[in-house]
Amino acid sequence: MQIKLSINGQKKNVEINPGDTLLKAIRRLGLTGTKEGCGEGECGACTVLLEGLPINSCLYLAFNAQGKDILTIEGLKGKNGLHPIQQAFVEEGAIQCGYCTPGMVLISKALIDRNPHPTEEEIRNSLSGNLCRCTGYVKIVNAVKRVAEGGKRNEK
Amino acid sequence: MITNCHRPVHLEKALDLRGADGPKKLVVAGGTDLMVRLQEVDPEVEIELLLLEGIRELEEISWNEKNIILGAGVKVETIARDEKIFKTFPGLKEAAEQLGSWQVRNLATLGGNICNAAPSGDLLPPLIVYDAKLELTSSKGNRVLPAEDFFLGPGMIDLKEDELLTRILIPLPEKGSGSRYEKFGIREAMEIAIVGVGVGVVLGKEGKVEKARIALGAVAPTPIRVPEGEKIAIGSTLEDNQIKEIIRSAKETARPICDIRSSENYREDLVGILLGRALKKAKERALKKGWGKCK
Repeated sequence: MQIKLSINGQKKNVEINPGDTLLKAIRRLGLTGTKEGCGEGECGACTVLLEGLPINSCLYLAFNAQGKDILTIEGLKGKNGLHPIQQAFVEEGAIQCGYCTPGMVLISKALIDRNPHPTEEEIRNSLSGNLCRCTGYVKIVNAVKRVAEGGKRNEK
Repeated sequence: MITNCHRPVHLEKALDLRGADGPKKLVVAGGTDLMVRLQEVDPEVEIELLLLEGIRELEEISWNEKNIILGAGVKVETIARDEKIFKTFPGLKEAAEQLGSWQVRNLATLGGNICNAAPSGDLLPPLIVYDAKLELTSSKGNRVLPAEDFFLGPGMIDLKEDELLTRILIPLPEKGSGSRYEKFGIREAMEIAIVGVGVGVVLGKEGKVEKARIALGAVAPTPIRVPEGEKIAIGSTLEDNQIKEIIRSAKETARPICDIRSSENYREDLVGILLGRALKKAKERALKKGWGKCK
């Protein structure tokens, strides 16, 4: 069956099977920034924002996503280059293999949108559903803190 | 194989579909548990999905003089962030905010957590403690069942083929009440409970327990109450030696299994530790709120 999805501000037609996940549909559209890690909602690599809220796209039916705004990592970059969160990840070196990064960046965006100045505890809580097997999280948390503190260098 | 999706926007239509003949229909609420199991569906069997997400009637939250009424489709994250729910039913909020990750809570629903009927389901012990009533509706009418009678086994519930869980009614707490949900997992976040403990007490003017409800999660095929322990609690002032007796009774009631997450003995020990903490916190809350200042 064919459904229409609104991804990164653009309407796209995509052919799906009724039981397909949103993750599958997104990747079928060539938007491969959204990753499949565990496929069970444990790792957060498939995180996208649905109506501004983070969800695991591997646990969500594409069919349910019709008529809703979906933001993937490809839609985050603005006209003037990287989104401030992406920039902070680069500057803090919060990326190693990169597999978890799209999900990490998107959940951080959702957090900053809801709460522009989160504490470290709030950051760690919000990111607890996103696993990274390279960095040990310190630099990722620092990157989010950097944005929360208005882009200042984090001295700690 | 999944051959079709139905996404009604009205409850009435959903109930018609639920009662209709034809291929087996799986009911999908938030889907956070079900979607994982869908990958194991037998490709030879035709299955249709009945998606509840589009039904606004199921997302109602309302309060009246006697109850809070929660639609089965209310998101777990909504419960976790609702200050009024925290003030009135702190254990429910504490369970909701410890369920899964932020991503999962944005999808998962109250009704889904109930109908999934995992022995470890976080919302189940507090719902039993608060004596929640479940409204089960079919196109022929509805019936109301106390939450504690709904669970028959792991993943097994008292829901007929043509019924949907539509609303959850929780009576407002009496004066002098205090409650708490305690959970333990290996990680601090995003964990399935190794043990979950819900406690609710009502203290009289003298500080004596007049009513007590204790519910344990993940230590039996369903969430269970601890009737003997509740009896010991009633009339006590929850001093340390009295709490010890309640714990002893709860450990006798629990029937934990040994699995990938924990041994049997470890679960039994945790019942004691978490129950002790929950009783103390519930007492503290009941005293802090003061007699007569409730609601």
